[in-house]
Amino acid sequence: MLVLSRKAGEGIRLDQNVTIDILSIEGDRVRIGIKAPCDMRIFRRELLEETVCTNREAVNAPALNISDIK
Amino acid sequence: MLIETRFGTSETNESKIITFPSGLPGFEDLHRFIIVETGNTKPIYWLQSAENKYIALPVVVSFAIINDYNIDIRENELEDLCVENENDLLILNVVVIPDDVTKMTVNLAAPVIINAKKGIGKQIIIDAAELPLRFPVYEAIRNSLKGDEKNAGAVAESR
Repeated sequence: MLVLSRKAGEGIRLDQNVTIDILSIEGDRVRIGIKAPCDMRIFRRELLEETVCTNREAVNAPALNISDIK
Repeated sequence: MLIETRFGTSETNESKIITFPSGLPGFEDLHRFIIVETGNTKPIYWLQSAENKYIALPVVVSFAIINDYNIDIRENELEDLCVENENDLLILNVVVIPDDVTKMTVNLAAPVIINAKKGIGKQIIIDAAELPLRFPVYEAIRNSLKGDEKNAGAVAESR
């Protein structure tokens, strides 16, 4: 993993078309601005981690009979 | 061809196989799935691995049961699935069903988008405040059972 230290106002460029800017730092919270092509999905990492969890939990579904719901 | 499923051995044909080139989050090694519908669980269907019979994810067609469910699918995502006609697109959401079924939830943030015609699928993640990962869905399913039965057949028709 590449590890960089940045200050507020500085940024990182990924390849030709993605810019990540550190907008501000307040306590343990960092505001980040991202400029990227619109065909690139950007999401918080925990959404992927939680989707892994929900997918795995989904497999444990009990035997279901829909008449129990009606 | 015969596929071992959670529900027993199922006769299906190759054209029903949906290929997930990247697998699903949590199941990256599984690439071939079929949609299983059992009369007992409609409008919940099962995204069943054709490679591991124990892996079957309950899914719903959220558009059919949740009124204001809207997602934007990007042009490049349609291209990844080789979608030529948007009518070929089938969108499913994974349901988590605990022992107390009244507490079941659906992941609205991570729709499974499928080109039903070509049999290619992908689960995408959309970061939007109005799309929870655990949206309570029991009531919506109950209402859809009370309401029209047409929606429940939507998946079968599109495959």
